[in-house]
Amino acid sequence: MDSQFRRGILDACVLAVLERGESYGYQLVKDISQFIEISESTLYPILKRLEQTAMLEVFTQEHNGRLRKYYRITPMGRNKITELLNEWEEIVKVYQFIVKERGESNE
Amino acid sequence: MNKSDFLVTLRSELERQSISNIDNMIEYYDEMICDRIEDGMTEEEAVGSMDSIEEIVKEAVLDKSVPALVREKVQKSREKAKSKGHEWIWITLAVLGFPVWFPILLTVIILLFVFFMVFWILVATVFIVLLAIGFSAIACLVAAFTVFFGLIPFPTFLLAIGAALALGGICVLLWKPLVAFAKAAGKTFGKIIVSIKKKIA
Repeated sequence: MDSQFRRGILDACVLAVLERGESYGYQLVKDISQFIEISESTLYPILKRLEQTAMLEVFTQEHNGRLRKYYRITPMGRNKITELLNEWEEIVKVYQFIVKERGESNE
Repeated sequence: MNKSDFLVTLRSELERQSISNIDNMIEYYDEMICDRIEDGMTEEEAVGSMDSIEEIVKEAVLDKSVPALVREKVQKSREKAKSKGHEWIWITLAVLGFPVWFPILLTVIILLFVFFMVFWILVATVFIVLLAIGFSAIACLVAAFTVFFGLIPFPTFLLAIGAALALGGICVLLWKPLVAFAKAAGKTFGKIIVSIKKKIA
């Protein structure tokens, strides 16, 4: 998969999981990897970028005597999901067009 | 490999690639390993199930700063030109075009620098003004107390106390909004940098 495209998808996955509620790094990897391959080292820059662009907020909470970072979606993050979904709708239309054209040319 | 060995090796590799914000990354991987152990893995298993250190470093290199990205991009296109044997065209163009591109490049660099400076000096100025008001308040308070040594008459004492209270009040009132302003300014600046990075990468 094209890396730019994959990045967009992973951004949306992280935001979508966070839309359901706050989460932390390991939980995010577990939730998302059920659908698309993601590892810690891919997740790290995504979280960093989403934080820098104010799509999510980070806060620290104590857990079992150590500190754990939690991530929370912002209103801007919610808008981003809608934006990405609209973009993909267009891609799906193009996809259907291409499949149809191929089908006709192969007949 | 146990957790601390993993983190120590990772740190030294990241340092070798001059990655920024290493502490943050180490904290992140530390947390990840701890979470896996809590999930039922042994320490060895948890470390083993992480990405390899090379992979982590590779991702971090991809996430480098703007100047580093530009440098790498230039290097890549140069190597590409070299492999195609077109390098001499670019060298010739670069030499012949020097009087054109050099002043433009210089202007762009200076403009960016000035923009950066103005931005932060503006933020600093606001705090310097606040600091000045705060110092004036303290000075007025000190001046007021000289009344006990008979240095100033009573009405002047009242004036000084009044001024100290008023200035101190302004200082307290303005503190929160100014901190908020500085934070917002920092965030905006961060956004600008991110958008520049997006254009290059």
